[in-house]
Amino acid sequence: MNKILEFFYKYLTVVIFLVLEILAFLLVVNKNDLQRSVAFRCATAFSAWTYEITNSVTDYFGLAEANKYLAEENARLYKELADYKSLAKDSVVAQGGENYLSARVVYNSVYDLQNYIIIDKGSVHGVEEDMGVFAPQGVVGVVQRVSKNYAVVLPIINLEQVISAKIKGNNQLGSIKWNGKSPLKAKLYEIPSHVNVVAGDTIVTSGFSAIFPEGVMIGIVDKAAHVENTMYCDVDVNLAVDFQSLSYVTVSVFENKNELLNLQKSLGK
Amino acid sequence: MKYTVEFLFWFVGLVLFQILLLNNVQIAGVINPFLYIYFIIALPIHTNRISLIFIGFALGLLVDAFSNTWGIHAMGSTLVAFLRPYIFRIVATQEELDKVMPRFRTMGVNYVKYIISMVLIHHFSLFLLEAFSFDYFWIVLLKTLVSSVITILLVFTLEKVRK
Repeated sequence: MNKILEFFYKYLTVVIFLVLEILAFLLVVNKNDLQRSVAFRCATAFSAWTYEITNSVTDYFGLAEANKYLAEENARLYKELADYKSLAKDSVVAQGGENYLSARVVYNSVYDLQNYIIIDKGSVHGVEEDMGVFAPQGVVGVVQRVSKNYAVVLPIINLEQVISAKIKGNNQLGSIKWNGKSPLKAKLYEIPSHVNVVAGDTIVTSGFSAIFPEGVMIGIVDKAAHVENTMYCDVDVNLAVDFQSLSYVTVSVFENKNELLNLQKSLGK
Repeated sequence: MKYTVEFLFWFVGLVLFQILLLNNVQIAGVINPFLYIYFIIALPIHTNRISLIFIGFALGLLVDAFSNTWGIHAMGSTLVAFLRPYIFRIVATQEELDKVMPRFRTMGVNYVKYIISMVLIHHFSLFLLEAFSFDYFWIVLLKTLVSSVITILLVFTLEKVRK
């Protein structure tokens, strides 16, 4: 028992000594400028060293995640590249007075009656109301409202949207309007019944408005039928753009738009 | 009781001497004697080790408070207070350790060894903490040696005065 007490007493001395020394050391590094700056430097170096060690270990655990991320990124970039390649071959060709602006879709609804899209480009980037918006596959819609950094696009699949269109090949004019049901389909109105429309015909923009350049893909005729007792054909169109997977769009900036609008106004349109 | 009053006197006297006079001694940038450590040197041989450590800490902290060197003297004097029994065991014989007070006339040359060890350890730890870097190791060593010589001379002067 005496031995144990002695042992404890010996250690008590050491503990008290260490506590007082640590207390004094804390005073040294907190109250003296030089010592504090040196201690701070050492502490920083030490924590950087430990971070490096823990990172070099945890990096290995993160490799699977990083791989997955890189593969996804690769796929996306490949797809984007392919899209751009097809864009060059596509019917969209920049003409005089037109400019294009790439934008990312930040909000997109598909299943409502009043669907709309929000893109990450706004008045700061030069987007204005009534500008045409299209994806690499074809027409998306028209800019309806613009804020500083965002714009609301009224897509084809909104019941209020009507886009001037024509049948490629015979240049027969009509207007595209959504049927309010499927985000994949729309209707082509105002095609006279005498016109020969068959499934597979391509529908493109007419270029008769200041919104879209001429000849931008809208969709392919799904089926066309003559409706009795009317003067018009009933034309179903498969839309070219997949609205459900829209992520990047292009805004067409028609630089002479105001000039054209003024001209149209002067004609009393 | 007789000792308590005497050591209280020594405590106050040495601290005052240190902060009023010796703290202002800066010869050639290397001589800074720290005579206050004599208080720990002079305490009775069989002082309780824990009390010794607390006394060392308090003494150092007091000197720190008046020298604006927070913690440096506290660390140094706590260290020598902790090491004092070990130094005794190394330099002194058992016969000498049975005495009450560590004095030159009872311990002779071993007392000199004891003082030199205490002062060197104390001064070295102080100057090292002051530099706070091993880059200045040789300057620290030089300051330790030169200042220790002065402190040791002062200690022996005090011994003469005490008698």
